[in-house]
Amino acid sequence: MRHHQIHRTAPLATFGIVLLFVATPGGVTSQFSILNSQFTAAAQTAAAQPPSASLDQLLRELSTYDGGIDSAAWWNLRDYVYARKDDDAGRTECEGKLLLFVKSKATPAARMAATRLLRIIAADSAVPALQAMLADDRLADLAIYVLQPMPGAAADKALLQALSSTKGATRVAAIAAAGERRLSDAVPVLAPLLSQPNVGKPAALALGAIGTEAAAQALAAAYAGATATSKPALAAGSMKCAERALAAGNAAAALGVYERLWADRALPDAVRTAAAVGRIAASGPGGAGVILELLATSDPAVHQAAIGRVRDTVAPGGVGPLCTMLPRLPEASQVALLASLSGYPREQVLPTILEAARSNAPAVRLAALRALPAVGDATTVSLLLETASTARGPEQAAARAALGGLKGHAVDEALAARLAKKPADDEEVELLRAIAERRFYPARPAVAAALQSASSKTRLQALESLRVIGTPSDVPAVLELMLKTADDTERSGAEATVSSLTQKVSRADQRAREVKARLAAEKDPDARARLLGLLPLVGDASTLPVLRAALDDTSPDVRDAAVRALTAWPTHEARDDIFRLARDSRNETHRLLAIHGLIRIIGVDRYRDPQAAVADLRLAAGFAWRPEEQKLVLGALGQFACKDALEMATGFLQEPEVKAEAQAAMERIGKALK
Amino acid sequence: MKKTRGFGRREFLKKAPLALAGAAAFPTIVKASALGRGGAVPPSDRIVMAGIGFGMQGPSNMRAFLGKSDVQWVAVCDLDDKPLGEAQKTVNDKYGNTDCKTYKDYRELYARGDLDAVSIAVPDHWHAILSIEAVGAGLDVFGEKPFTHSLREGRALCDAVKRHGRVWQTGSWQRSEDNFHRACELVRNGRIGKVRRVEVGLPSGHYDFAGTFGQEKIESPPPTFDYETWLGPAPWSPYCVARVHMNWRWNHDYGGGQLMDWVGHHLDIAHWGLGFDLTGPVQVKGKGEFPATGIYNSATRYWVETLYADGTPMVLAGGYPEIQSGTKWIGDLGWVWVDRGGFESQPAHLVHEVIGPNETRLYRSRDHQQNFLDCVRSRALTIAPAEVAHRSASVGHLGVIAIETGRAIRWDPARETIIGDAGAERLLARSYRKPYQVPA
Repeated sequence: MRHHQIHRTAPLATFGIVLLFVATPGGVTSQFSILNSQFTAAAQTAAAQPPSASLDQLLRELSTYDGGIDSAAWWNLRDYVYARKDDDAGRTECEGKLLLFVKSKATPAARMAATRLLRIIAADSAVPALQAMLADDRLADLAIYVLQPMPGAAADKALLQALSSTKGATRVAAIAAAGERRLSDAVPVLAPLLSQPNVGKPAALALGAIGTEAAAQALAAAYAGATATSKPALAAGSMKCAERALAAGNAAAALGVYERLWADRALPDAVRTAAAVGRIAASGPGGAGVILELLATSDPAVHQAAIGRVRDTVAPGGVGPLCTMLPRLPEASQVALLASLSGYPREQVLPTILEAARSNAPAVRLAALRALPAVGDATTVSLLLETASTARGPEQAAARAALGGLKGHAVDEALAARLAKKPADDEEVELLRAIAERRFYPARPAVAAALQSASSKTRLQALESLRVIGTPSDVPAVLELMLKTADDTERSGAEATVSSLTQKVSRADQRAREVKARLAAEKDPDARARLLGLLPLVGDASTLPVLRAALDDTSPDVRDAAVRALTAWPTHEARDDIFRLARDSRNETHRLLAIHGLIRIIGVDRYRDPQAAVADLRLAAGFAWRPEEQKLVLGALGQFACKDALEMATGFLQEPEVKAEAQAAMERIGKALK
Repeated sequence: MKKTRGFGRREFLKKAPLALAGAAAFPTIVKASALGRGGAVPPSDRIVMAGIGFGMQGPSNMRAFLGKSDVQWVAVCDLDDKPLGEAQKTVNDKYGNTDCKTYKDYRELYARGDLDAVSIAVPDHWHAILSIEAVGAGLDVFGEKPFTHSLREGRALCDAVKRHGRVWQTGSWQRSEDNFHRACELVRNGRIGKVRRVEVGLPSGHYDFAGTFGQEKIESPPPTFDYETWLGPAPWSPYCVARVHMNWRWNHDYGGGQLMDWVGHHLDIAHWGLGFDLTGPVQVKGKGEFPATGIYNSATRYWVETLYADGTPMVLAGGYPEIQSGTKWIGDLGWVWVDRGGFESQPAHLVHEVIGPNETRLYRSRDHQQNFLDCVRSRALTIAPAEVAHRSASVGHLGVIAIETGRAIRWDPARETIIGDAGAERLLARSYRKPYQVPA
């Protein structure tokens, strides 16, 4: 394990690293692995050698520590102690001297620093000294800090004594520590404190943490005569005891506590609600009945608490009464209960949920729809389709999610059967959406057929669904739609679908096969231009020659499309083409497109040698005559952390229009180079 | 959505005619949103929220909730006047009024009586006290990770959430992000076969969030900042700028360094993918490297190895380049790796696979704050409930203990005890400075 000394030796190691690198400029990887092993060796060596200064000296150095930056003394001490903590003699020495130090006139920060170490190493031998510290206000916190987590009976005894021998805030701390340690012997000492101001609440919480039967009895006895102010803490402690009793199998004792607290209307609502939750848990099989009883009240918070326990309490066969009660509950409670019912067997709850899905209350309908994915089946499809196609907002979203999430292949079949019946447009759209969501591939032909629907909405959804379940064999049909339609949305939808489908072709050089075939057969310049526009979306490099040839086409539209396609090409394979366009094109728009494309391509290639990337960006900058493109260059420059990039960015500082971008690039590069 | 008793609808309707008569003489312009128009949820149905802690994560959590139509944010609480004032202004600007109340004492906030939920984003050492008292006051909580500052506090908080029947959401928001969800579903549905090893890469070092590194000169705290309360249950230490606000996390008295900061993210995702949400490792060992000076004492570089009961080993590491940032499950048939910026697999096509409705589906949340709000209404478990958060944080706590003791820890996740090592066991809890005590 490495200690902080490594940071101290790190500068030497770093020098070694630089030396080695300078000496052998090649083979960086092998150098790194050598240095790594040296680093590890240094770490092991350092770990084996604790500081050579004596403990007394280390403590002297620590004694003036102010808690600030100059904490080397603390780290040295830590190393010293850690090196000895598992060795009896060493540990004993450290413990003794640290205890003395903690009581010394050293700064508070120094004494706290020493106490942290005592917390790790203190054993029974430290207890007498710690116990004595409890009587001193200046030292009591430190003593508790060490005593509270210390294992063993000696620490128990010291804290037990402190419950009687200390006063004020120290006593409160000792009470809290006794609770944290589950000190059952403390119960008789804590019980009388329950009725005392200042210590009553901590004592109640501590007894709750101890959680024994005796602690529960003490709390119950105090509760009987308690004031309204002290009751909440007593109730909190009692409930913790009840939890322990329940976990130990004593449900009757736990139930007694909860019922007593539930019956006390003087308690704050939140406490009674917790008691209600406890009643359910402690009632075992009777918990379902308690839930029904609580739901029969008019208290919304109690409803919430009861409904929150339904799934853990009500058996699948016992959910009937809840289903019967649901429609009579306030809206908010119906919403909550519907969510719980979704975890139950379909045959028990589906009718209730379906009825709720037709409620007049929007929140209840929505909750029912959200419950359906878990319990719905093929018979639910009609309702969901109707809702999905007619509702808007959250209900439509919930119906769609349900259609996509219903379990069972019967649902898939039901959807496909509905689609085959040529439903109304809105319903057809929802069916196509759901089929895709469910990845129901057997319905693909029907989805593809919907591309020829008379409804634009249906065609658009078919395009979207095919992106998910379509195959490359669907590309020709999609191309047909793309070329026929005058609707821009359909056109861009078709382009996206072609792009998705062609990516499913495993051989990259075959992805554009269908597009190329259509291009070869297409005479109309407008159609050819559109097809060329698809090629960068497909990204099949075997089509680059087609694009290059199209640069010389007789149709200006086709030439323009070829330029746009080349400058939008996604990979560096088109770099040279784009470069030539940026350099040679006489069309200003084309040159701008090319410059943008060049900058983008350089930025896309993440693994490229940074110097080469910067050289290309220099060329791009050379082509750029507008500040807009120079800003793009500077933006891309920031990705390549090397001296060349820094130099290039510096050169732009003289240009007022791009100075801010140059500074930003320099900052980014500078940070990366650090 | 006040769930108070007493002044119910019937009472209001009885009193309403007088109120309306008075109002008729003074025409009032009522915002459409107050009447539930324009898609707005009427105020009476909104979830009433407040926030505690606006140093770093608090403001962005609050802004996310302010963007929800079914939330009414009514108050802010912080120990420092500056972030408190800024938070108040944010709320008032949102609603176009000056109704947002400020608090320095969280107990006064909890005592308001009109809150449904509270968002808590404070230093780790205050998580347990504020949260246990919040649920004890009948509030649902959106809390931050790590769940608590010690393992024992975590159990106490889980028990309190259950005892009071409250809804808890942890700020482990990656669970509500698509990539992480999909990655976990792939693993859970056996796409990479039996998982043989998990690697969790976390950040290393100490990051200067507040720009206060080096400002460790001991001085008096500013009068606008209640430092004594900020220290709370943590051991006393003198004030310096670098100790507080955002950078507190590098000191073990208040936080747990990068390990504890991030265990609630990438380790949490690892657990989710493995189906280990409600359990923990059976063995933990670790090593760490620490600074040589300064007040930050959490490990800057660390390596923690864990072993689970089914034999799955998991490494959590920060500062070791061989462990990639994020979560990586390595199985017999390939691997899946996911991080905030990436999602890759071997074989590569796995990342495009989608799990259908007839396979194992994991809890779906597309919006972490909205999931909390939905669960406040439905009383269902959130996507990152208390027990899950506690189990994620527990691995971090055990890692810190293993590093601290230099020993391999044997852990019983069911009973939550360390086996055969009393010295390590004592580090499961923290001693509170007087007069603080773990609430019930």
